[in-house]
Amino acid sequence: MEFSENTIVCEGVIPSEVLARQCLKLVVLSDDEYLVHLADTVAQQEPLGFVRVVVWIQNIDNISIINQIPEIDDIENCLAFSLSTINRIGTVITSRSTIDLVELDSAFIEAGKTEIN
Amino acid sequence: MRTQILAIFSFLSVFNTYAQIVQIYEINGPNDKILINEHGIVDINSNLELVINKANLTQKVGARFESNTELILELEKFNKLLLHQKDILSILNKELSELTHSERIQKLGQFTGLMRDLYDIVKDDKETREKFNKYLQEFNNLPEMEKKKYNSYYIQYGFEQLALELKNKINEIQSRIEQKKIKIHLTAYLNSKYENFKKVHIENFDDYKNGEFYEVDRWVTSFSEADIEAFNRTNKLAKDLNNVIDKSFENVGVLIEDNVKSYNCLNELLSDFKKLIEKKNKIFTSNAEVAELFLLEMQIEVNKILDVISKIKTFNGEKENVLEYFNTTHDQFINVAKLFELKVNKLVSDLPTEFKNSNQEILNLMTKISTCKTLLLEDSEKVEKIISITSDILEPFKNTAIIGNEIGNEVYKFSINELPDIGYIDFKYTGKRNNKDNLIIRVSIESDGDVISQKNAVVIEKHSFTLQQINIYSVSNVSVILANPYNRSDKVALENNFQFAPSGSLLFKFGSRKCKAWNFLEPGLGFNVSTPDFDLDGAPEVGLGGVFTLLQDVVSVGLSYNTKTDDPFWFFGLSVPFSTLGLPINTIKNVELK
Repeated sequence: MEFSENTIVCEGVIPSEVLARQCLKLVVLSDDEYLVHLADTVAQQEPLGFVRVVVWIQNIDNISIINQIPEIDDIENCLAFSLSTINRIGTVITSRSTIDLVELDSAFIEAGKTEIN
Repeated sequence: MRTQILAIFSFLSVFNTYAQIVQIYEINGPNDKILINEHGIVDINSNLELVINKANLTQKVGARFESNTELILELEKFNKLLLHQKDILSILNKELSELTHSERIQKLGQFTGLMRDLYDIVKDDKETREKFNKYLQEFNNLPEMEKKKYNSYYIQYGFEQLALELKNKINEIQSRIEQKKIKIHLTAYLNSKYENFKKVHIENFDDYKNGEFYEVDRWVTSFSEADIEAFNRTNKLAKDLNNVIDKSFENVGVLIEDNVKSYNCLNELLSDFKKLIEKKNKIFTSNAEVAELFLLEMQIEVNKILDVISKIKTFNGEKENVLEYFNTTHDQFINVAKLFELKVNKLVSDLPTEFKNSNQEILNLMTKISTCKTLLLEDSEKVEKIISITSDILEPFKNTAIIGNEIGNEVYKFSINELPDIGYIDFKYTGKRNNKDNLIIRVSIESDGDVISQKNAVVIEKHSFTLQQINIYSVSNVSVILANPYNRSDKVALENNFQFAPSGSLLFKFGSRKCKAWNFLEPGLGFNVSTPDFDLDGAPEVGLGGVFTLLQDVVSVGLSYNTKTDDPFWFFGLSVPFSTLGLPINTIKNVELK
């Protein structure tokens, strides 16, 4: 499946150059391509001009990711999580979440909270 | 496209504002409109624009039929979703490129808050969630140029689609309402000091004739003829009150006794009865027992009247409150006088005819009874008139018996599709009115059948506004004050500390558009002219000074200067609700301005 330029597919950890960008991110840890496709769809929308980026990590290195984002909790059950412009956790999507466009847009929206930007 | 978006945006905005059927605006100029629903205060001379929100009307009317329950619930869901749409779209449509990074972050935070509230509702309902997923997907498939017009985010597109769905549902309910033959009216009433439920013409909605043209003057710079007339009345009142005070209330009884003409007649009648009873056996050759019984009963009735009058005579101002006393005695007098007439008529009619014509003394007695009765009735009418005049002056809130809900033929009845979008009220054509008067606007519906209820018309929305002169304005008033010359010269001959005096004031006031408490307090500051008589030579002097009033001029206090005796004095006026007490003292009467 092809994704837009807003979606980055990478190995193991979140690329440091992505973390350095002051944009809203959605890190996908799941291997569900459909989820990434939905995330890519909402990432193409940029309300208020804030760029949205989807980072799909394959062959996840859990420990390194925890080192990158110490706030992350229960990474085993985490399908995806959103990050603010300064890489604070917005929301966590788990297996209990309903996976649809609304959920993924909502994840990007949560990453815009004042207290984490 | 932009125009279309804005049109829908404004449709949604109107739809969602407080879910009211009528939005009421005060029009101050072609581009100057104020929404007045919030504070409930409206300019006394303004023009009002009544904008009908048919979507809200449809929802309220539609909710009255069970068959619409599902549709109405859906509309309510839409309403909830649209609660934040105005704010969301206003942030989205803002130009952010000029802002600093932290300012943009702040805007993003606000946007997040609003979207989160929206998504809470969306996620809560499966159908709504599906709808928004659909909007997101559809938006994604739009050409790039189109997306840019929506500021690269789907929500505006989503609101548009929601609005279209909403419109379709409203149309569906409207056609159901049409089928039920529901008629809608819009009516307005004014509750003023002069009349309650006075019908007010709403252009496009009724055929009422305009009321008398009356514009409440903003600036009053001199006393009107009505003020001068009121001043003369208060002058007389002040003199009477000073007289009462000087004589320590002793002459209240004399004052009333002198004016009650039947008193002497009744006294004479009583002594005639006694004389006749004493010589009954000489006068009444037959029917002596009937005569005695008649005379004794008449004595009892006359005594009842004289008791009331003697109460007035023996009044002691030290022990009793003159105002309460006035109330009880005038009531008693009127009641006893009326009963007296009935009882005397009965007693006389029960007498055998041969007895009435038996001798000259009986004939004289009958004539006297008749004279006293007439005088008593005249007195009773006089007292009633005094009370009526007093209460007219003091309590002009005479309610006319008009039923507020009555909707006459002059009110147009519209079906939901025929209903005009806008109505107008021009206050200048609603006749005399005052600050604190109350305007009521009602939306009501009726149906031919039993759809709504058994009643003919049901009020489904009601607005109430207080009329008020806004900003600075001036008024005149006339009152009785109590003046105290605090630095007495030799020319002051007063025995008491205070003297009643008539006074007139020109006051400046400020009417608030927002604060009801301020308008209730209604402070006023201005110029005062009064005519005390400190040297007691019978000729009034002129006092000039300043005055401060509160509570719609109920309380007034001021400093003044007697130009003849060269004495400064302070004064106060306190107007209590005399309608309950019955005696006009210190009542400040705001006089109607031309």
